[in-house]
Amino acid sequence: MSDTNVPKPQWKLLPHDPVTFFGLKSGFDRKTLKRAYGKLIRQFKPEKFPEEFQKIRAAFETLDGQLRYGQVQSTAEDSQTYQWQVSPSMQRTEGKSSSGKSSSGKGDASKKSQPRESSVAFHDRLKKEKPSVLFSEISRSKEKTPYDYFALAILSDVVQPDQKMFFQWLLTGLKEHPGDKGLFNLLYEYFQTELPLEVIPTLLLTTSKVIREDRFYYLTESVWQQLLRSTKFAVFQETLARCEANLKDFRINARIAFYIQILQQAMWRANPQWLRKTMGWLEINSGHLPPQLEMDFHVLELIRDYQKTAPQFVGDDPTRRQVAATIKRYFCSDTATADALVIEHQLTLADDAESLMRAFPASLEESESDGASAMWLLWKWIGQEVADRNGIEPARVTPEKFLKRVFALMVDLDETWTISRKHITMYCMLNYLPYFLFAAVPFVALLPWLGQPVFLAVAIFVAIVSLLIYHFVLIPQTIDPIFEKMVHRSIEKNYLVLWRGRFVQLIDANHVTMRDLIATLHEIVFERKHRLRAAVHLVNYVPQDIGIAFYAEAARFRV
Amino acid sequence: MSASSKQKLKYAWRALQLNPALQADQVVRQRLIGLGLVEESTLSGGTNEQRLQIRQQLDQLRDKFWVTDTEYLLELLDGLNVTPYPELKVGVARMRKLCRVKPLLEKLSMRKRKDVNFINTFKRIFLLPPREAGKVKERYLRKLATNPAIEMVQKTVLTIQEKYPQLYDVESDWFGQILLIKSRRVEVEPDEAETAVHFADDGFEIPVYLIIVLGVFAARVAVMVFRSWR
Repeated sequence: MSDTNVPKPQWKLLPHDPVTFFGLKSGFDRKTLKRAYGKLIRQFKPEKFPEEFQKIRAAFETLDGQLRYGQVQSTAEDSQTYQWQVSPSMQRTEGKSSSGKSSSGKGDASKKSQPRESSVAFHDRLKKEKPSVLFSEISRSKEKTPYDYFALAILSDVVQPDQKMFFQWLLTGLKEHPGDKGLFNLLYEYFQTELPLEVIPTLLLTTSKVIREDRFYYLTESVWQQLLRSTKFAVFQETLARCEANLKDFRINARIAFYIQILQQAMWRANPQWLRKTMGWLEINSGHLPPQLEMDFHVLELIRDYQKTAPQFVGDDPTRRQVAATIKRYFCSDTATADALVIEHQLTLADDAESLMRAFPASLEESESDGASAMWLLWKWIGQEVADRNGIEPARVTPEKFLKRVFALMVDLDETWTISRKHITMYCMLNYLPYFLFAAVPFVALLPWLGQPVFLAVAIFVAIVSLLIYHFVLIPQTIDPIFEKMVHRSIEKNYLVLWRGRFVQLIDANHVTMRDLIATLHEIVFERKHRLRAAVHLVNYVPQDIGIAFYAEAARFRV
Repeated sequence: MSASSKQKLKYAWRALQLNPALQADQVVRQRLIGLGLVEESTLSGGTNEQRLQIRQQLDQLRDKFWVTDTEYLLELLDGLNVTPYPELKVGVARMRKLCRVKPLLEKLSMRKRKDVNFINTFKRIFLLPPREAGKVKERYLRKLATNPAIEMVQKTVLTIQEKYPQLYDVESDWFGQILLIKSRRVEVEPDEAETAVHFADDGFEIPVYLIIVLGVFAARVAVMVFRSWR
């Protein structure tokens, strides 16, 4: 349901002015964009507002891509200055039958469009004329405008059997009018579609001969991702090397942005040598890393840590293996497939809490903890990305209400804990018995001479000193830590056997994030200082419990 | 899938009216549809409408779950194309699982020794959407320790575990928690209650017998000291 307090989005601003649509101020970053996007998709959930959701998502993806490459432009201003197709009536009155002009073409100022025989717009002419006639007429024209190339690309789909001609005409147009925004955007959108694998290397190579500056990376990024997904790495590597050899004028920032994005996928398939070289290049140039790419670079580090440490942790456990497989497939699939995969897996994990808790125990061996934490960090990042993209959010429980629920649970759990008789006996033995021993030993040792006041005084003195040493030194330094350890072990056992499961149920009922849960525990224990015996230790156990963390992450996907 | 020339012409006519500087995505979209490279429904958000429709159908099946024949229910579930929708896929898989254990639940309901409230709660949880079910399960656990019928509830769960393991699997984590909860009444054994004193505020209890033993020991030492001094 849409929130009535939130102002209605201005749909008319899409797709040309996504910046104003999202209500962003100049100099905005990806975090701000993500927040604005999240706000809107919470209002327009995909299942209820599919069309609106798609519009918002498309606008977000375009802006996000532009931000990564530092290419955000005020499209609203551009749309006012950019004239694509002069209306037929204007052509007639002015007598200049240019069927289109571009204000952004670099070479256009010096080139005057050739008068065309007809001043009727192409789409109108299509009603009466054959497309082949129109196509030949435009292709014969000596000086073509961007609009002519656009028309040739479209008409080639009708009159020429080879579908690649669409691409060829756009590229030829860009060669002629390198700065033309219309042709560039068209080519960009064309590259976003699923292209036949066998033609991709040729398309890329041809493009690199025409678009020879940094825009090449931005323009072709998604095609490289397709290539990487669908073919051998060697083909990708060779094609990339050949294309880069054609580039003349690339800024380092665009190349960094490109490699950071590509590496997220390539790290799962690349040969170690290429990977080492590319990562090395990125690290050397990390000083040029723009702030908007810091998080993406961090993800590469997460992947590297994960690949180094996780295999040992994954071992033969089926749940861990499944998570590992999903992580790999996430990075090696297209966005839609990857999102569906993660959502399905999260829901499956949420449905089988028992296996999840077994696979990710509360206390891990030291040798496993690095792998587990690397896996968790990457899994959490993936979950957040997918949730953000798909408008999945944790349930809205008011903090006060949730705090009450957590506190009720803590009180309940606290009552379930009692220390065992063995521990009590041990505590008394260690804590009280030595008092008697220290008091008695000097007297017993000097028993035959106690009749003499000197020995009696010595016995009393030694007894007092022993008691003082025991009370002020031995108890705090040795007895208390031993007993505390015993108590902790007992509480930990309780946590593992009983409390952990109750926390799973709590998360299941409230669908809160791990962060909220930890914050609430902290508030109860440290700020409100409620009197609890053993349950205060939850503040230590829960944040370190990777199983609970995985479960909380999975449960948020439930609707 | 190949497009007719009429379809191609329609695409060209539409696309030529668009401004690619602002509507490049729409041009490409028209192209994909016009050339028959992609189905219109895949691009137009039709899939999401379908998703909504399937979700509604699934809700309807849930509503009719207890009164509809299991075989027929399974047939209807098979008819739902949920492959592209992960959340519905998992929902349908669960419904299938529930259909398979439905006769077991009916058998369980017929048993004499059972806690009726528990069975009713279980039946409710059975079909509730996960978020709702989670709330009911948590609330039930919270109150179970003080529930006078806790033993019967746990016996019923044990019966499910032993006799109907497939049914147990449906909510195994919840059942597992039920079995772990101890009744407050049962937890403090009478002999322990009588022979324990509370130790300050830290909640530890010192057994009385230990105090007596230590007291006797101290008295004996004192007597020995007193005698030797005399």
